[in-house]
Amino acid sequence: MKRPYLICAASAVARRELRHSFYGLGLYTVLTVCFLISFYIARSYADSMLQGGVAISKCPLEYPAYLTTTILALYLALCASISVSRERDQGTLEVLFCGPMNHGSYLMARFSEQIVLFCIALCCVTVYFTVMSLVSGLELGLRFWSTIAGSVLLASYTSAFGLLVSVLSKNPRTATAVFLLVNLILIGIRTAASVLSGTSNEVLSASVIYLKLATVVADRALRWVSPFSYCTWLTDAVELGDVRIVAIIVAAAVIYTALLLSLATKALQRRGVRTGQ
Amino acid sequence: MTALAPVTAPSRTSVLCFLVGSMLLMSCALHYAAASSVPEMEDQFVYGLTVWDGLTYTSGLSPQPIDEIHIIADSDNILAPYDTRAYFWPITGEYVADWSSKQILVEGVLEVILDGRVVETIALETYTLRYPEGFNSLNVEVLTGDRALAAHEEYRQAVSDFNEAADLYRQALAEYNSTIAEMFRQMREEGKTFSKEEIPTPPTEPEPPSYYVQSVRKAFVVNLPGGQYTIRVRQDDRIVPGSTKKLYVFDPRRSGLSFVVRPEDSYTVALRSDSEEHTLYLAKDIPLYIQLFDVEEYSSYHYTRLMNSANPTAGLGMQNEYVWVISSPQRPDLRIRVYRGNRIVSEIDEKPYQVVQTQSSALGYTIVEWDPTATEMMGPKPTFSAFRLHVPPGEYRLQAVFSSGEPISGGGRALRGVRKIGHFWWTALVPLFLGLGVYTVRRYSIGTLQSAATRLPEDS
Repeated sequence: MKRPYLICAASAVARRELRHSFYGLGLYTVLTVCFLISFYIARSYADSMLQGGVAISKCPLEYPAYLTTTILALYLALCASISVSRERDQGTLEVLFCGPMNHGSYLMARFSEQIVLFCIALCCVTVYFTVMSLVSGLELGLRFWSTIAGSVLLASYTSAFGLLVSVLSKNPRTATAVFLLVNLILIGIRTAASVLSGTSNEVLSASVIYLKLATVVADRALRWVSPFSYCTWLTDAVELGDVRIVAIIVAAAVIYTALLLSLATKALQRRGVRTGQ
Repeated sequence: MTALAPVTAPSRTSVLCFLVGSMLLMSCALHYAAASSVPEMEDQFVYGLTVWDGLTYTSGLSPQPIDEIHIIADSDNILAPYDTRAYFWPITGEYVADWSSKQILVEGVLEVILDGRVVETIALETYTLRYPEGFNSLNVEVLTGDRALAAHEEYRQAVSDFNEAADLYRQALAEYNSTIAEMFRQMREEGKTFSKEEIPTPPTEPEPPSYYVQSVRKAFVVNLPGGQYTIRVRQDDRIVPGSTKKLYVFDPRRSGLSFVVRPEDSYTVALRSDSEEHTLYLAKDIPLYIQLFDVEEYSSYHYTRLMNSANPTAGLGMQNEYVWVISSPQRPDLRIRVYRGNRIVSEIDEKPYQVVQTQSSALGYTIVEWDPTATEMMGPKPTFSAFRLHVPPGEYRLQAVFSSGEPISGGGRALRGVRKIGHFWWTALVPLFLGLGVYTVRRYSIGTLQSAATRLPEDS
C-alpha cells in the first residue's frame, strides 16, 4: 500500500477518534474530577499555611499535578484500549482494513490521537494550575513543570501499553481488567514505597520495616520499567540538574513506547482484525 | 453440702500438692521473668567507632552481627578494634558493649580492600579528640601521633596549673574572709575605722581551661575517598575473626545553605529550608528571624546507618531517600539581600537578640535587640543571633551574600504571600460546563440534521 494513502487514512482515523472524544462527556468529567481533587489539595495547603502564618514548602502543586496527569493518562489509555478491543469485537476493524489501512498505521493513528488528546488536556491542566497559582500564591516551581513535561512520557507509555493489551485481549472486559491490574500494581508499589520511605523506622514494627524494604527494593527495580517510578525519577533528576539521567530516562521512555507499539502491531498482525481469527 | 464438708485426709494431700505445684510454677515463671531482663552477653570482636557526622564526631559501635560500617568520605574516622562483651538490648533495638567488664585492644593492622585488592594498610595510631571551645561544643578536631600526645600533655598541664591556682585561690579566699571578719570585729567591738586603702582586695578566681582534650588512645584512623570497601584486621599471618566488614564510604550528593526561620510569634518552633527549591510562604505581617547554616545532602540510608551503627534495622528501606544535614555552625559572615522584582528592597545584617519574658505570670515574651551594655538587665549572652526580616506579605526574593556583596551558591529563596482560595472552587467545574455545552450543541445539531433528513423526502 502506498504511504500517502496510509498516512491519509491513519489521519482520518485519528481525527474521527479525536472528534468522538471532544463530543463525548467523558474527558470533561475526568478533567473536572481531577481539578476538584487538585483544588481540594491546594486549598488544604493554602489553609494550613494561612493558619500557621509561615510555612516552607517545595512545590506544593507538584503532587496534585502528578495525580491529575496520571489519572488523565490512565483514563485516555483505558478508553483507547476499550475502543480498539470493541472495534475488533464488533467487526469495525475488519471493515476499516478493507480500505487503505494496515496494522501499523491503524495503531499509530490511535496512538497519535491519544497523545494529541493528552497534550490538549495537558494545556487545560497547565492553564488551570497557573490560575490556581496566581489566585493562591502557591508557586508552580521547577518540579511542577518537569512533572507536566514528564507526563507526556507517562501518557505515551500507558497508551502504547493500552493498545498492546487491547490487541492481545479477547474482549473489552479482559482488556480493561488486565490494563487496570498491571497499572494498579505499578502505582501501588510506587505509592507504598513513597509513603513508607517517608516514615521513620522508629515508629514501625520490625515486620513493617521489612515490608518497607521490600517495596523500596521493588520500586528501585521497577524504576526502569514502571512509568510511574521513572517519571518521579525524571523530576528528581531535573531538580538536581542531572542532564545525563534526564536524557537516559527520556530515551528509555521513547524506546519502551516504540517497543510496545511494535509488539502491538505484531500481535495485531498475528491475531488478525476479526474476533476468533 | 459437699463444699461445706470438712477437708478429709486424702483431699488435704491433694490441696497440698496443688499448692506446692502452683508455687513451683510461679517460682519458675518468676525465674524466667527475671532471666529475660538480663541480656545474654557474648565475647566478641567489635569496632568502637568515633565517626565524623558532617558537623561533629559521634560515637558508635559496630558489633559482630552487623557486617557493615558507614562513614563520610574524606574525613578522619576512628575505628578502634576491641575484644569486649556485647549484647542486644531489645528496648532500644540495638547492640551495646559492656566496656567496664572487658575492653582489650586488639593489636594488628587494618587492611582496606577495594575490588579484591588491598589498597591501604593502616596501623594502630595514638589519637585524641580536642574540643577547642569546651566539651559541650560541636567543634572537635582529631589529633594523631605526637600532636595528640603534646595536646594531651598541654591540657593535663593546664588542668594541673588550674588545680594549683584553685588551691591557692581557696587559701587566699580563706585569708581574705578571715581578714574581713577581723576588720568587722574590730569595727564592732573597738570602734576602729579603716581607710579604703586598708581594705584588702578579694583574690581573683582562676579560670579553668576553656578547652578539653580527651585522653590519648590507640585506634585506626581511616580517611578514604568515596566507594565500597572491605576491611579486616590482620595479626601477623591471620585475620582476626569477626573483623571483616563492608565499609561504605559516601560523599554528599550536593551542598547548600540552610535558612532556619523562626517566626516571632513561635520562635522556638523553627522551620528549615535547605535547598533553593523551597519557597517561604508568609501569610501574616510578622517579623521572621533567619539563621544561616551550611548544609550537605546525604543518602538517608548511609547517614542513618552511620548515626545508628549498632541498630540492625536502622536505615532499612531508606535507600531512595536523601537527608540534609547541617554541616557548620551558624554563618556569621553573610548578609541577606531582599529583592522585589529586580530591585533591592533592603539588606539585612545579623544581630544578637534577647527573648524577654513578660513581667506578669501569664505566658508571653518579646524579642528585643540585645544590648551588650545592659547585661545586668538582659543577661550576659543573647538568646540567639539572626537576620530580622519584616516585610509585608508579597513576592520577594532573598539572597544570602558575602560581605563583599557576592551571592553565595545555594543561598537564594523565594518569599511569597499566600491567599485563601476556598471561594474559587467553582473553577474546577469549568470543564464540566464546557463539556455539557459541547454535548448539548452536538446533540442539538444531530437532532436538527436528523429532522432535516427525515423532512427531506416529504418536501422533495
